Amino acid sequence: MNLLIRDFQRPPRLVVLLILLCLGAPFAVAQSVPDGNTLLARIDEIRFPEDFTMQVTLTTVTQGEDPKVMSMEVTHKKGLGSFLQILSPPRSRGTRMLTETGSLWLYNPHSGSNRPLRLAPRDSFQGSAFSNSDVSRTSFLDDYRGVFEKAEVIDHPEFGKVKVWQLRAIAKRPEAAYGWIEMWVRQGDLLPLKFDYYAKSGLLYRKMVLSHYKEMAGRLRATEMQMVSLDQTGTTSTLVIHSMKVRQDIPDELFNLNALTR
Amino acid sequence: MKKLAPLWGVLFLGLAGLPLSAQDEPGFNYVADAGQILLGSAPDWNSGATTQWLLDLNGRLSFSQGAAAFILDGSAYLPLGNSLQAGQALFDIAEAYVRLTPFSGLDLTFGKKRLNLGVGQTFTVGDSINPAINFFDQKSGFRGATWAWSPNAWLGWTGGISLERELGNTPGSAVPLPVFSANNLAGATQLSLQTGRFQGTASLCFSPNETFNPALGVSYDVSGVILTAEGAVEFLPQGLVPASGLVSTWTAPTAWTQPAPSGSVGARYTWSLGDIDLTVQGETLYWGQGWTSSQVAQANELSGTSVSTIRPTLRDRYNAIFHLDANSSDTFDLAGFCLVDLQDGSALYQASLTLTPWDSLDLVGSFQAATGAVTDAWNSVPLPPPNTQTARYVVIFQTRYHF
Repeated sequence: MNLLIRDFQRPPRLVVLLILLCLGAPFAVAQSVPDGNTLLARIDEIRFPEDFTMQVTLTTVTQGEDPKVMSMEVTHKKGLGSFLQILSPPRSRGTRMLTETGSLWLYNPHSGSNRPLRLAPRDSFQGSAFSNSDVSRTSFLDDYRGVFEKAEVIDHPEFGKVKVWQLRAIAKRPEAAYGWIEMWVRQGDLLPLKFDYYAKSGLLYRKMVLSHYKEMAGRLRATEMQMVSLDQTGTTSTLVIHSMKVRQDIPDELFNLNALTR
Repeated sequence: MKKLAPLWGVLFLGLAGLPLSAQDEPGFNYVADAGQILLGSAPDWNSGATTQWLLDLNGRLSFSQGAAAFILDGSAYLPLGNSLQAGQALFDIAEAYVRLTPFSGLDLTFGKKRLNLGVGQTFTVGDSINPAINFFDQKSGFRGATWAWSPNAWLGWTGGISLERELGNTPGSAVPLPVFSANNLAGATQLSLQTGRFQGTASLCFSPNETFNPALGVSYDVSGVILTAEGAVEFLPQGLVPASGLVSTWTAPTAWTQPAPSGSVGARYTWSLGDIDLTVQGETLYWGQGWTSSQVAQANELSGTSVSTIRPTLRDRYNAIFHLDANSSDTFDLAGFCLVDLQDGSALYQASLTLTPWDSLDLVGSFQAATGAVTDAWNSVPLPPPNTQTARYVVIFQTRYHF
């Protein structure tokens, strides 16, 4: 009896350890899978810094046509928007775009007018598979809320078979270009690998694969994003980031309409 | 002016010092294209078309260093013949100005420049497209000085002073105006606000004794539909009015007593249909500001007819504008444009097809026509530069190479 009482009072260490492990396991799993919004914030961090300038090339291939190559410089400041200038080809050179929350403006120096034209963010960017907002908006968290869906294994062109977490980014503002976006991020370092874009009607109409991860602007980032348009038959656009620089000196007035046409 | 000379000198030296103190590397940017224009036109439907073949060169050049920049935007037209004779070439300068930026967010320009006012995409009722003072049209620009101050991302203050009439450009006056008179000055200023899906403008066009035309404009994006609305009121007399309702007697109303309103509303939407972006735009415009007494008097003097017989063509105007555009991945662009006078039914039509077989080459075919009778508002179409005449219809074929 004494022995039994003593045993109850002092359980074997192994049993204690097992019990603690069993009780703690669900918490350990919960901590290792961040919630959807946290994942979305990490995706934003990994894709782009808060304030930066980058040089990119956008190549669009449409069935039966020559590839169209466009190079651009994009400057982004968190909370204000993006300022984009096309550097080539010659027929688009000098075209500038300014995007802010819910609005998008375009200035075309070939038009014979210096009045900026207001565009809808969801429209196609310069005939590519990207929408205007894909190119000019860098934060998902501004327009979407994240919901964790499941863990799975996918094939990725750069990493092969990868364990990933899938989450859904659901539009939380009417200005959002898509109804929702399915996202796959690599477990552990949360590198975004693949996005599927759905219209508000539920139609899947764009798919993007992120690859060619390199150290850039202070961390590992995807330098190539290949977008396939499912509604533009056979159109694929690839955005390659050549350089990216974190900047603290971007003036607010760069995002004023006056700067677009100056 | 002599008393002001030292001040101008100080101002010039001060502004000239800005670029000298700048340490930045010089920059050069350009946008340019060259091509040929083959056009046929006729003054009426029954006449044979007159043809013309031109080479043209268009460019926008920008030189900058530090806080200073020089911008030149212009075109050159050369008639294509067996030989080129002196005086045949025409150079058209749309903009040519020096821009100084004393501090980030403030631009001052001196030279010829366009100034944006309002939110309208085709016409803006607040920009005083106004033969009374010939201040400016936003497409043609004016000679003078402008400023643009952007204290942050959402607020802007712009403005300009035109010296066109000081420089002798006085088509609205029956007699030449005295040079360098304060009464010749014309100007405009605008406060603009852009926040989220809303854009708002408050502007004013002014000239002593000639025009005082405040305007408000708003633009809003409703689920991809871009809506615009503008209103303006002219407080100074812009034309003669029938005295006591008698069309035989015309008088200018007393200043500030008969404000003349103008207004417009419009909408634009783009559908993405597979590979094709289809844009539809509509706008209706009421223009209530007429012509000035001085211009009507000039017309009366020149033609020898009474004002009352000229006046019907110079009345208030109601117009509707329709614009349709189909664009496919930079391979083609098919556009149609129609401007209808809702009072007399006359219209301007334009259709154009642009093909881009290679990245830098455009092939453009277009057709423009006017349907109105001689007394109607839209009875002719302007020929493209360097021509200054009008025609009943114009057919154009262009090739354009961007470099």
